Amino acid sequence: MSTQTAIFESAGDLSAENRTNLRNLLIAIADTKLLLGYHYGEWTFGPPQIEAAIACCSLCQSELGHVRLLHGLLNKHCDEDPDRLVCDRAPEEFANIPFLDSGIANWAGLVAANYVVDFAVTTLLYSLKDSAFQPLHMSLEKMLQEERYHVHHGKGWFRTLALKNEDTRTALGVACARALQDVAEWFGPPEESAERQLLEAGVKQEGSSSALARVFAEIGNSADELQVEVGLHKSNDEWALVEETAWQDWDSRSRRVRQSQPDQDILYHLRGNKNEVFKLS
Amino acid sequence: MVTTDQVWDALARVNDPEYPLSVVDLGMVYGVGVNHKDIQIEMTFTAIGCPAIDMIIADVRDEVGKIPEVQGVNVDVVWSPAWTKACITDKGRQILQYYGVGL
Repeated sequence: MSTQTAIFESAGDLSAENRTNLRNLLIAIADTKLLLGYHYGEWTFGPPQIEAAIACCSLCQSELGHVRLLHGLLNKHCDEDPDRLVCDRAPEEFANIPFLDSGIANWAGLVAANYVVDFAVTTLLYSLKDSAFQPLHMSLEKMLQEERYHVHHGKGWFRTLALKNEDTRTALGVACARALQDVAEWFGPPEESAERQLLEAGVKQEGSSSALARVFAEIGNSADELQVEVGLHKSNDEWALVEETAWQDWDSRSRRVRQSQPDQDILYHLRGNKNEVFKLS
Repeated sequence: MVTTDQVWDALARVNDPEYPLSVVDLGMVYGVGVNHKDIQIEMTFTAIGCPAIDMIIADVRDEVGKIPEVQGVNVDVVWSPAWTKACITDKGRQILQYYGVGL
């Protein structure tokens, strides 16, 4: 719920606390999309069908475009250098959903990244769609339009693997259960202070708990229909994790409870370190 | 004195790199402003991840910059309202259908 009273044309119109809160949130979204783009790109070769390979290529292009747009906002309104965000940060500074930290071992993992992780980020973006921070509001309509196809793809493959055989259904469940745990961690604890401030200013329109409930409902209902065990249970018409997150060590900047970070070799490839000599200034 | 018609005519000569139709017929140009010798163009793209954004902007600047007396061309990229197929002009639809693109 928002108590929005003002429209913010630039981050300079926000309070100092909310400038930092907004910056941290945008970086977390951009980091997740950057890592999603990397993994989709990696899976441009190797999926079970050529159509899925082409889809991964397209999903990668889409996510990297969104990163470019978000980095532009961070550059203009939060004085962040996009090159620094990609190339000059320590791994522990990345605030992506942890599921993307390491290589995705099999197609079930990629489907979990697509259906659970990608959908979760999109759900969070919906909570910013009518943001009082106008530059963000004016950017999200197109981004969300494009994301509709991502979830269709993820949901289609979730269904395909769930129905193929017991092995694929089990692998899918294991991957999605881990992805859901990591998504819950990234959304953060209820009533977290940075989020409360963003909600009060109208920068966000929906709290993380409510957005996470919508993610759980989407995945939980699909899993229930197709008998995939994804680590969710239903109680009083609401889906929740079987294993609840312990929040005492949650860090609002990295959006993690654990000491974890993207693998160095992923960052090495993602940053194009081996092509340093070819970089354009 | 530069006119908006001259600017629209110049933009109609800037083609999309993938299909043989202009950014105007694709419905990517949302507005044109003329302030003496400085031109302001508001445009969008069909996809946020379009790899040709910089190239198309360069083509726009180049083509509009050829209009006599024009000194500056500023291109403002916007994402709202979001581009959809509904933005394509009737002429653009005919061209795409001629080349077998379903709409």
